[in-house]
Amino acid sequence: MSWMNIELILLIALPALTAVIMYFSKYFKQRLRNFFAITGAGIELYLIFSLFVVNYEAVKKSDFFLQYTIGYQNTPFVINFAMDNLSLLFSLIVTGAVFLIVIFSTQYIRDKEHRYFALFFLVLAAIQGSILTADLFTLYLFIETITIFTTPLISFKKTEETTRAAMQYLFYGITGGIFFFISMILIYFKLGTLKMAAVAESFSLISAPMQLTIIIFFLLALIIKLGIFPIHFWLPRAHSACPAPISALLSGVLLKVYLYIFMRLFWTMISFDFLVNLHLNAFVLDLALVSSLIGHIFALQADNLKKMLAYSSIGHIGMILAVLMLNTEAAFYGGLLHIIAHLLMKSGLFLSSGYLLQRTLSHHIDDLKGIGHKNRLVFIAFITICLGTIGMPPLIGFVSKWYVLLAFLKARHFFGAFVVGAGSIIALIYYLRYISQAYETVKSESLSLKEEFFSLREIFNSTNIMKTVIYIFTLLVIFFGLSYQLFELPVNTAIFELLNPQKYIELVLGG
Amino acid sequence: MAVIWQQFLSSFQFDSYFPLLAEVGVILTLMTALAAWNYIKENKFWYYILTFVYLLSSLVVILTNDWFFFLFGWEMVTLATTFMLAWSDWKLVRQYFVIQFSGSSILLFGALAANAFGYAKIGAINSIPLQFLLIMGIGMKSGLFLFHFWLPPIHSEAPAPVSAILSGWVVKLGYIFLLKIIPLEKGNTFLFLLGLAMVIYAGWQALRSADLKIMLAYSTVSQLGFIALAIGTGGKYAFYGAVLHIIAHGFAKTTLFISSGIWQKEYGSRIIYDFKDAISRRPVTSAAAIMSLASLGAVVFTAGYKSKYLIKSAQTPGILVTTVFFLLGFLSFLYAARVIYWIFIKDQDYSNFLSDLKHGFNHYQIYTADVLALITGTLGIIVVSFWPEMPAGVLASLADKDFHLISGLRDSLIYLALAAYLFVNNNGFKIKVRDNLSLENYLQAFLNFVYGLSRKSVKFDTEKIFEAFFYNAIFNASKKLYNLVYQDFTIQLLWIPIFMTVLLLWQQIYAYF
Repeated sequence: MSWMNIELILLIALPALTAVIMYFSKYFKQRLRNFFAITGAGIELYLIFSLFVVNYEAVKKSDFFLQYTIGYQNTPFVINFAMDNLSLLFSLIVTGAVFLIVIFSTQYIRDKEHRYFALFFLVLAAIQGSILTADLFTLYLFIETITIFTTPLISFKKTEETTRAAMQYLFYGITGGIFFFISMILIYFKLGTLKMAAVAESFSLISAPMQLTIIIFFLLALIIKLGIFPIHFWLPRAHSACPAPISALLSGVLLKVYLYIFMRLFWTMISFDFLVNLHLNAFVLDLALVSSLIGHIFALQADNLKKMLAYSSIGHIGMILAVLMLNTEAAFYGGLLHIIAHLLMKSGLFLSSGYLLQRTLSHHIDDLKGIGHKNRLVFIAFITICLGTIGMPPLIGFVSKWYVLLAFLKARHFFGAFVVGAGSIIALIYYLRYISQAYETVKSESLSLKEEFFSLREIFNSTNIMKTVIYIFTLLVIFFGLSYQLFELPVNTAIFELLNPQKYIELVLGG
Repeated sequence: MAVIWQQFLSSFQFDSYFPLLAEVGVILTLMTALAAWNYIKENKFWYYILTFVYLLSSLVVILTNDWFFFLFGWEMVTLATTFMLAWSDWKLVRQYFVIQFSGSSILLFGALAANAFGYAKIGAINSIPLQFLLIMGIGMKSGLFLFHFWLPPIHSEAPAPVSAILSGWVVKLGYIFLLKIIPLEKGNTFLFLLGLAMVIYAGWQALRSADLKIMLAYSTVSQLGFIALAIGTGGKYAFYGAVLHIIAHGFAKTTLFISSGIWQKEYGSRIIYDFKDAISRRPVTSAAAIMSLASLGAVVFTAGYKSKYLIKSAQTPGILVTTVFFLLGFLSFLYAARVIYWIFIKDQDYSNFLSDLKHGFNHYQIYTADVLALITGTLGIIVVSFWPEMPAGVLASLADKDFHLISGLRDSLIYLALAAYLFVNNNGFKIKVRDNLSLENYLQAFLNFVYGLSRKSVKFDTEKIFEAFFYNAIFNASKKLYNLVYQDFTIQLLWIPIFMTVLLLWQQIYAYF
């Protein structure tokens, strides 16, 4: 395994290149443009997946590591990419979800597609970059890139509401970025390096008050980005204003990327012991739990379907952050499993809500009357995924809820266990409200057994690609719920990385 | 993938009486499937898919000893039975699902707590608080006292085969679980008291209801009380009594709900007094129903007698226990005998020609499937009553057990004489039919009570009071909180510096506490 792995650059360069092609695709025919978009995302997925398959033995032994360096080795402005098991897991799930979202958006977006896809692929490149990067400066750049390129996507429809949401999003995003920047600058002045591994090695040399300041600004930046309770105001507005695929990207994928960055910063770069010494871990844990509860309660009163889904995202992200802060192996297992589960479920929910809301007057609950009858199968998929989020078997939500709850109880943290249980009961109530509204006008038909059996064929006769993507998400939710042990190997190796940051540090610095 | 499959298969336990219970569950499900063949008209395909899912997952619940698969199976049971209620009303689906989901949340909490406290497999749990938590968990699902409020409305409104499934077997799953976790030697006093309360309260309610399905639902709660009481007592014979009672009551209640469905189609009514001359109009149905009711009322030689005798014999002997159990038995006998009394009554009004003509036809055709289901149920009761040691000798030590049939015969005759005296003098306890039971009405009564504390009782518009409570009240409360947090943009922004200060001064704040 050479330590100069050009694949890593390719992973970032490929979406960027696709973005350039997509920008000039307004002269193409629609079919060609869709082909390019799907191929771009497909090759990306293939690359990641082949990385996983080729290095399967190494992943199994948890000594999988790839890295690539650009620039002059001995200056601080070297750009360094590294991939270990944790980044591999996140890269894999994120790319998989994005691939499906791209397929959905080829049919969903009917206007200014070239701009949409150019921005979309730039965001994808930045996401891959921020997952793969191994130094703080590049990470900062990629985070800012994500913020800046998602803003026009949020205001893609150009109404007053979306513009307001986008401005708010941009403001909060930039503020978060500034806090991140302050921490970074402080580290640079103290240590003279921005390589995460080098920082990790010598972080204890910094004086205690400065450590506190650095940690607090990092925390603040990530709490703003994750939409944890006191600073969550931008999240529901931004996530509900944009087109459905972008909601899925923001809520399903991007929040997980920020969680990944959180783990990278506070487990690999700054050891978790520093948080424990400063008594910050308990504070963040309780804050995240309160945020989870508040998110679910606010979802109750949301009269807008997409806003409700966004608030429920706040609830789930708070829960994941809280369980990660427990810092035990069981907690990481539950947290990572719930990250995967929530990624699948929330993307599926946002995409199906996008499909359902195409022909309604507005997103308001009163206008949803009878959509359950008009789009029968899609709405059944929607209900199935809803059941997944409240944790019914045989869906993946049950498995992840199980492990999260088990982690809380093993750590004897009963408030956390209460929040998980209460959250899913509240979630049941707010989903039922929408579901019963969708079946408002009751229609009954009597079919014989034979006719009914043949009517099942309509599932297979579906020609609509958007519907197919939604069904794929639903089937994935069911499939992984039944065979969640497929994730055991990647998740366990990722936990190994989190618990042994020393390996990462040695490999990066040794190269 | 292979690993989870092996784990799943190896978690199955085929010892003691649980395989027997699983077999009984399969037979009962097949009975209801037979009965549903003509009862369910629309979407038959989906109904049978759901039945199949229910069958498999209930087997998992009974046989597995792994917490994960146990809860997995139970949630699947919940999901399958929930959607079966859709053949009656979607409103029921919503209510049942909300209640079952709250119950399973408590159960999930309890199960994971047990798991975290070192009970890796499902087995006897010695810690009293954990036992309490798990009893509370199944309380909502299996209708323990005070949590049983949802059971009569939902079991009586469901389609007859679904009621048979719910009342005959789904509620029993909780008690089968309790058989595993309550230690055999000690029992649990709390459970015993709950069971006693259930027998008395629900028995009285069953006697007070004129609607057959509501009466059956209350009698389910009452008989479940006997099971809870037996498990709470502890001891070998009490547990055997519980197992026998689960089986006997399963057969009897399934048969009764199926016959209630047939009578309902035949007479177009669910009121007990309308089933006049049922014995000659639907002879097979009535025979099966009489058999099951005799078992419910613990008439000597029937299955119910054997199980109740075992439960009684496990108590510390004494005059008090004898009296209490005599009275409890009398209560069950009374509400069972009342139905039998009314199906023998013939005083039909044949004064006009039309009603006479109507009487000449069977409104509801006699289907082979129905008859088959009823015969299976009757056979089940007969098997339990004459071979309490069960086929293959699962409860082998019961073969030589003396059931004191003579004293049983004496008690039954006394019951019969008392019941006959009471019925003849009170016109068969003919009671005014109560309004439809529903959770909305319960809620209205509750609200009336709360409202009435301050002023005169008012009539609420109950049309959507369930929704009004669950949705509007909760939503308005959350809206208030939302408005509190969401001030204008500048105040939102203020959170960032406030929060930063808190974080920066966190050390001092932490030290202060």
